[in-house]
Amino acid sequence: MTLVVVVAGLLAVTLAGLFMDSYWVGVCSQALMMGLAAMALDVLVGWCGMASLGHAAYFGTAGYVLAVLTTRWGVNPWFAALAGVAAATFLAFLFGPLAVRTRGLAFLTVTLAFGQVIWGLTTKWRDVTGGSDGIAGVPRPTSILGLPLTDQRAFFLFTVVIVAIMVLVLVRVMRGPFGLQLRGVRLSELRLRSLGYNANGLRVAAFVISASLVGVAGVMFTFFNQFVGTNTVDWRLSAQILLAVVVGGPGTLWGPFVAGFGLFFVQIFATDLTERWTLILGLLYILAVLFLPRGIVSLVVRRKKTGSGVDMDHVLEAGDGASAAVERGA
Amino acid sequence: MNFALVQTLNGLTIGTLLFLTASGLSVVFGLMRILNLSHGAMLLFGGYVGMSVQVAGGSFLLATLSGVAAAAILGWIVQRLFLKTLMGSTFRQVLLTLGVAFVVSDSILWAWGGTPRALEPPASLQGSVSLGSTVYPTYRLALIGLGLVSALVLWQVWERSLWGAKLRACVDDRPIAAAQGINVGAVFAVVFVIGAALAGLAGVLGGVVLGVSVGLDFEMQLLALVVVIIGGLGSLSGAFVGSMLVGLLDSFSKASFPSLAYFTIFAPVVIILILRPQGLFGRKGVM
Amino acid sequence: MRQKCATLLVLVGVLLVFSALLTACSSGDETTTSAAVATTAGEVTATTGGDTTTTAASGTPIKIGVLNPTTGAQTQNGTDVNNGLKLYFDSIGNQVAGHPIELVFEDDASNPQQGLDRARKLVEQDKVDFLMGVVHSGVAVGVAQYAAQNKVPYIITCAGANALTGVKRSPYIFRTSETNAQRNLVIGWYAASKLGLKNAALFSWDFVAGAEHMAAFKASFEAAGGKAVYETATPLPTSDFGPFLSTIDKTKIDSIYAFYASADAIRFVQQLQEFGFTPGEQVLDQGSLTEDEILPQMGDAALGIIGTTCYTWSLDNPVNSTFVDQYAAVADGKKPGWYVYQGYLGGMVAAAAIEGARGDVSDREAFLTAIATVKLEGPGGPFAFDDQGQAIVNQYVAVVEKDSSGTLYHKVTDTIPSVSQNWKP
Repeated sequence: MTLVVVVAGLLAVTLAGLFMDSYWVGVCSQALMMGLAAMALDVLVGWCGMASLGHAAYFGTAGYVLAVLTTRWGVNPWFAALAGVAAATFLAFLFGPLAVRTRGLAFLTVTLAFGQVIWGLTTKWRDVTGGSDGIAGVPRPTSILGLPLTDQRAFFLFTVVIVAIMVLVLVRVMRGPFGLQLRGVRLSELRLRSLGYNANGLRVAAFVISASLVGVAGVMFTFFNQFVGTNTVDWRLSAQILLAVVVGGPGTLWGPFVAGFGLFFVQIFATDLTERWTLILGLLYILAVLFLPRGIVSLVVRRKKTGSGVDMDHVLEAGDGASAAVERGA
Repeated sequence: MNFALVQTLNGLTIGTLLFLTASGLSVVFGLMRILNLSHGAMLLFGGYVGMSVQVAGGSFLLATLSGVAAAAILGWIVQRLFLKTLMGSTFRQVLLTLGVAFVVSDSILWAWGGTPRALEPPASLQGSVSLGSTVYPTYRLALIGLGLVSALVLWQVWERSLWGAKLRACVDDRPIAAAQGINVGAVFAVVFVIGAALAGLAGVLGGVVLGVSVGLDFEMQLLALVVVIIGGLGSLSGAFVGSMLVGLLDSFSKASFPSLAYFTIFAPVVIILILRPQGLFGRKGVM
Repeated sequence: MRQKCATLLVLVGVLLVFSALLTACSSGDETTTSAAVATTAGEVTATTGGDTTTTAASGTPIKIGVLNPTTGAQTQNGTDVNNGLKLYFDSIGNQVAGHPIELVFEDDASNPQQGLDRARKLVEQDKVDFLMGVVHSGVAVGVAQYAAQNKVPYIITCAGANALTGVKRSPYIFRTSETNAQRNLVIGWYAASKLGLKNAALFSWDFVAGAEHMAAFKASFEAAGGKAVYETATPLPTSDFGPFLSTIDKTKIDSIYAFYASADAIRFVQQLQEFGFTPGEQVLDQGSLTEDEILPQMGDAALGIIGTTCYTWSLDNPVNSTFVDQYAAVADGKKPGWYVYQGYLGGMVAAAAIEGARGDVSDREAFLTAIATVKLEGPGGPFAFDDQGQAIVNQYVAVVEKDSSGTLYHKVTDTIPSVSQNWKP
């Protein structure tokens, strides 16, 4: 079901994109990247019940590594892009094991804190990152299959292809045993552990996977703008991605993707008409909390269980009662 | 100028402002498990209202009272409207208070514009004081004094008063306190509003030293969050010690290693959250 | 019940926002084609030698994309530049060489990403003919990159990042304001050789522009015999300079140089007094610290500050008199500050360039040549571009004093003509 929806959606967007003028094609490209980022975060939120307010760190790190390598060291954009994603993945490997030892609100705060550490480093390390000015002049890869990527339309097609591959891979992975193991860890950790599964290891894997894919989105975003700035590591970006997951419906993958995509369009329209985008975003948060505990997915799909059964009330609570009590050392 | 003396005084000044902000945040969490992410926005709202009152010709005292009242009213509205949601799941209240923070923050920007402003200290506290070879602004010394006084007052209420005892009962064990006949809902409402009022006070008083500007709400929110994590959620003494520590840390690191400013504040947070999540003074199982 | 109240309030909030959107819709992207100013169309203040008639322009409209911060920390500066630009075009009836001029304004909020997004929108969606504006150097670098790549002429009106009109500059980029380095060439030399100052504490913001200012002042000061004893970079914005000022030993210095603007400048100057640095140390300014717009808010703490600037309202020349009068007419008698002047000058140069190209901006090569060869008398004195598209202007040495009515102003004591980005004493 998910697969069909996603593929159909991507085809529709692709066709639409080819007919729009270059400005809107650019908007579509960026919206796809935001959808990918939201979907990536869903792995953590929807399957593990761990809400992170610091994922922009991986988005931005990937982008900055790409920018620094290409502008300062003249590295080929393709290699630099891979390096960027690798850097984001590596960062998650470093931080993940520490972070997953906390739960709920503590996890939220620790990811926020770490995100701010990255933000602080980015803003202060002016010699490398350009500080609050960012790095301009990032080159796009020259061409793919003969199409020059400096053309907005060609870049859009490139984006569609990359995003499609990531989506397909993610759907396969989360539909398979790994997804089930993650759900098991959230619903009944004690039982999973008694069966021999490494609960924290699974969580780290989920953390790293989500960070890695967010890094891909970050790299694409930097290629699109040919610029990277501190907004890519800003907590507000983290909050926006999280909102997309929540509004879309945690645990469904396609819900967050559509929400991330749509939210970007809302942002473009809103900023075109008014400067009050932040206000609107805030209202959206409030509305989502009050009315959409299961996300917009619940409006479309009437099933007993949407996605992996995670709604807002259970996102930050992990484990069943018994195992939770044992965890706390009662 | 004696570097250490000036930095210490600067640190204590910021510490005072943080204490006023963080104490409300900490007690509200201890009581109701609500992490109010819109606390910083209330601080800024109080600050801007105070600034406007002063610009319109009001005295510093009037400005302070207006700022405090404005923040308190905002706190009352939020608590009144979203109480049920706030007492629901952790995630819901985090998102909700985040939404409120965005709304308040952007409304402030809409109403007052983006140019950073500041408050003028009252005439009696303008100028500087000589401390040996060091010259230090009078207002900041007064602020430090106020911090100590308010800490003492709050401590009295917390430890010695009947109302404080009720409050502590609710923090320790809510169901039993309710069973004893304490109106937990009313206690909560009062605490939330007082917390907001204190934030507003910090906003106005701090408006002289830090000014009022877009982004200050998030900065103070973040620092207050750091304070309550280090000091321990639900602990007033933790909030005091934490505030002074963070204030001093912030001051010294800004002056000595400006490039590492954020790192020095947040690295301890990450470490504490992982090793001792209840903070220095908090109690286990709270997070 | 309370939940319903919450719902109601949120819905009301949404409705309010929507109505804001609707009202903003009608005034969203500001475009001005009509004069909103009480000057008669046709009153020529610049020697552009163009149309002075009030006949309706019949040519195709020329669209100028204007990008400036109208929200954020530099709101006042950006708004001032826009006002200056609008003032000039209104004063010539919003037409040049028979073509009506359409200004499309966008806000960059001093944020490089937003600047890039809006520049993209101006060029790709609004299809403007060329770009003007930007105050923040970081934003300018990103926008200039984009403009150069997409072959869109871009006239920078405030942002000072040196490299943009450096040796590797793109032929599409011009700047009517000074580079960060240029603004510090005279003051450093003047402080050391004419004022005899020897040991300075340098303060600046911690970003590209700040670093460039500080480095340039240090270079010119030390080349003339001075020494930079302290160099401190503070975050933008900084409200509390206490921690930084406390690291300075007063006995080791005789002067303080600072690059700050708007709110930080006000606070810095006031805190210098609070922490006992002034009176005592000589404070040196490259134009932003005591800029006319913020000077009144500093009070007596600003007295005695010596600086250089390319413009202050007390300059005595006919073009400036007209400019000051025009501005007073639309701004309730206020005097124009540096940012309003930059907007006005930018407008003069843009109009002159369009004149030079005879209204045909679609021939890029010709238009670029027309811009590069603009020469005129502005309110700040003579204006021309060097061969890298960078402005050559006068610099005036001035000291902050009180006039007979108690108002703070800049008293010009010296004029240094034709200061280019490569000026040497």
